[in-house]
Amino acid sequence: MTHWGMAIDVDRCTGCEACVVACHAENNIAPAGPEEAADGRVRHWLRIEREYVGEFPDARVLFRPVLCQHCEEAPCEPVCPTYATYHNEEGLNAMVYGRCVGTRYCANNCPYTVRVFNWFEPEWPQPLERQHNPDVTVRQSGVMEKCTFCVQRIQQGKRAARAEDRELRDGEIQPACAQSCPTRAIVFGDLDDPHSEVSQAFESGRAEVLLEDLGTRPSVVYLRGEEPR
Amino acid sequence: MPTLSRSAQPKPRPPRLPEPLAALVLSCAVGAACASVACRPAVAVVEQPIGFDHAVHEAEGVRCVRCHLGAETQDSAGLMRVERCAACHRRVIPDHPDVAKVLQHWQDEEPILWRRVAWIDEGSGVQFSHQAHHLAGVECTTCHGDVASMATAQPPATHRLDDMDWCVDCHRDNEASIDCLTCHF
Repeated sequence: MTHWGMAIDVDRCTGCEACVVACHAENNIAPAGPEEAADGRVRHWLRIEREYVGEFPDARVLFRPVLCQHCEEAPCEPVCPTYATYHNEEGLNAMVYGRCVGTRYCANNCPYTVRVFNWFEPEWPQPLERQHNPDVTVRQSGVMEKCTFCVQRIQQGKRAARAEDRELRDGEIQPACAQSCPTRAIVFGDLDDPHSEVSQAFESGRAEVLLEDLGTRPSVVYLRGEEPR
Repeated sequence: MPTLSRSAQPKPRPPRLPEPLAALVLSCAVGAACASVACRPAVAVVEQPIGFDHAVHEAEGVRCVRCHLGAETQDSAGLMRVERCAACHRRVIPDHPDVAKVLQHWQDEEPILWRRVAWIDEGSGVQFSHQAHHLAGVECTTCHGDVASMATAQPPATHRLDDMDWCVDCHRDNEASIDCLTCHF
């Protein structure tokens, strides 16, 4: 069995936001525009949070990409009245657009505030509409959306392996954020494979999870603790 | 004290949603009254700008994937460019009236605007992959019907391609995944 997970090295992240841009392009996420953004209605599936460490003059800033944590005990799942969001066998917190009726209970129950709602019909300023990814559904107004761990790439990777009659290789499947990261701060892979890079990151002793006391058991960990160079 | 721990309980699988009552009543009534294909809502006969005879090509040993190049290797089966039609037909019966039209398109470098026969509605959010189904051993005819015996390809007469019940029944029968994320993302 497979359990997808991600490790993000906070010490490596420079806050460049290449992952944010890549995520928008890969997943057909509509830009919000200035008015909606001012109302807090940006649709990022992945955002960069800042964290200030130390006291002046020895202060520094840590950047922390925050995306859907694909929690094992996801608070968003039991509150959905239509089972539009559920946990699948590969550890993914699934979001089925066709079932979503837009109650927004899930987003209100998410402690990481990573779910975004389409308040209006998504629009792309020309010519951005022409770069839609054909492998991802273009959502409509009234549905919730969030990070999928680029499930389209997971499915493609599995098909490619099957076509060549072999097992999936570690690191073969990369979400858009991990692929675009210039410092390779994001590692994605199978947590059930003890030899995978992401499993070893989980066991490295540097791993911490967000809001651990809530008991959500995220599939995303943040690595930190290296001394600043 | 009853335990409130949710983690002790098995994860519920997403249950199938109950069908809307209206659809249920309708399908029962229609199913009982006439189960024959003729009673299904009429599908408009698809006509193409140039007569292309699937049956003739099949009889000559031209397999589906010879023209629908991606049917075994890509998500989309697609249809080849007019250059590839011409690659054969500038030698093979170039004087046939329909072939002459094809060759004219080739010389004018004008693509032929074939009409689409089979598709899944975009609003369904289904990401269908031909490759996945080929790898699972599904034949073209399972979904598309016996196109090889038709002159002009028509939608399958027995089912709709965007009928999720029909998809899921086949997935269940063949122990393929029925996780939502297999198709909807």
